[in-house]
Amino acid sequence: MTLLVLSGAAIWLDSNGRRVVQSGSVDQLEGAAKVLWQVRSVVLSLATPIYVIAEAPYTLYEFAADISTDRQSLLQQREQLSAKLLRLEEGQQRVLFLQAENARLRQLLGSKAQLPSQATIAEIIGVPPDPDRAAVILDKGQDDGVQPGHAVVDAQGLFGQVVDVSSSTSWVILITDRKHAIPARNNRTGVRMIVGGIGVSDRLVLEDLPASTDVQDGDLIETSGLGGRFPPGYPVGTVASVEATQDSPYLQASLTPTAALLKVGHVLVIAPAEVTQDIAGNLVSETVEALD
Amino acid sequence: MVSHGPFMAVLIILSLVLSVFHLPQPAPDWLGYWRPQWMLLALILWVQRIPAYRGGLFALLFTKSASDDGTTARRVLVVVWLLGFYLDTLLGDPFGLNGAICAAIAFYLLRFQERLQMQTLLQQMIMVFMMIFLAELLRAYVRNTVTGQPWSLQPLALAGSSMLFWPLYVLAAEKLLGGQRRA
Repeated sequence: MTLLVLSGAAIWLDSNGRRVVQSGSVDQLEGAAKVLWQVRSVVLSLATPIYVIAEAPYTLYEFAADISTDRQSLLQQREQLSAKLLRLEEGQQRVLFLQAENARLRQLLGSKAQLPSQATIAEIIGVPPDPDRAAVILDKGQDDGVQPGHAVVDAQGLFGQVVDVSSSTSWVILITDRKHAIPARNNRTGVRMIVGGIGVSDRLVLEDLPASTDVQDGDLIETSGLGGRFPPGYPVGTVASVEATQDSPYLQASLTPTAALLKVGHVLVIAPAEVTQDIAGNLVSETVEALD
Repeated sequence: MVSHGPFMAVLIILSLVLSVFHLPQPAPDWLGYWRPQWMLLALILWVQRIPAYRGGLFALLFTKSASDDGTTARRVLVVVWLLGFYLDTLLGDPFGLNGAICAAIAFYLLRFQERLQMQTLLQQMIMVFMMIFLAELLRAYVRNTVTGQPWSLQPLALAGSSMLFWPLYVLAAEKLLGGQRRA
């Protein structure tokens, strides 16, 4: 009975702690909840080897596939990557120019500039097997600066957000999880909306979107940056279907995520950018230097 | 025949790995619902077959005291409760949930150990089904309350598949540890 009471107290403390961390940060935890969070973080580190062992068959398979690749296909791959790098460098030059122009305009308007986000490259080392939960485990944790609430992206778009961390690992909930929602906007029209997960790996939905909203198939939906959790401008998905029914005042719209949620092996963990006015001048000069 | 302690230690580590092993993607979601509860099966087998105490420190975790005045039960309950915390982090559950589940199952098995040893394999399968079904109902309730995870038929599917795997566990234990089963 004592153990059950202690378990109940632990569940209550943990659920309260999660709420505090999800709406703020770990630093806001106090007393027993903070101790429990630290204990949890330590035990989470001890759980990592089990995930690494469970993932070993897939890791070995990928390793075997890598070493059996022949020279010809490696050369082809290198050529493709060189061409891709050239295209990206060309795009990067335009981005730098636009970044500088954007910073100058913000300075003229007196609005605040955003610091460039800090990104950490992480590898996926485990996938929880529960079909009701869309999550992955990364090989980076508190020691690498990863904190609950940090956004995670892959090469194509938004991937998820960090919900739990240990010293060397972190749990990431994917954008397709039932509990997940993202403040977003339509790239074409700028209309703000909420994108939610439904527990299906290749589908997202636009929540409570009024029937009069201008949304079309193929529209790119990106993060709006509202709430400060996800940096603005990261692709979330493309609109796959839009349906209006006479019975409902809302549109039934679904998205296809742009991120390769099931295929990707490496991701970027992005710390929320700080907003400051002093940085605008520095950003302009740094960008101009980079352009030179 | 292998000794009890190392067998159970290997079984528990293997069950932990199987608990987090995921199917190759993209696999159908419904297949995940039929994944047996490996860790609870190992726990049931472990608590059911705690032999008489002999050996050193390692045996303390896996064996029964010579003068059993309730210390064994208390020791086992505390050990499985602590193991539950490890499971919580492994499975991403609220801290304390698996501790409560493991301790409740261990308490039931220890309380009725002698009666349960008289059961046939079919009766044991039914008992396994009921215990895992109730445990998964509790898990689903807490997950729903704490994390908002919706209800599903998962408790039923997990209990069903675990029940079907139970005879394999019993047969493997019999083969390696020596028989205990009744017809």
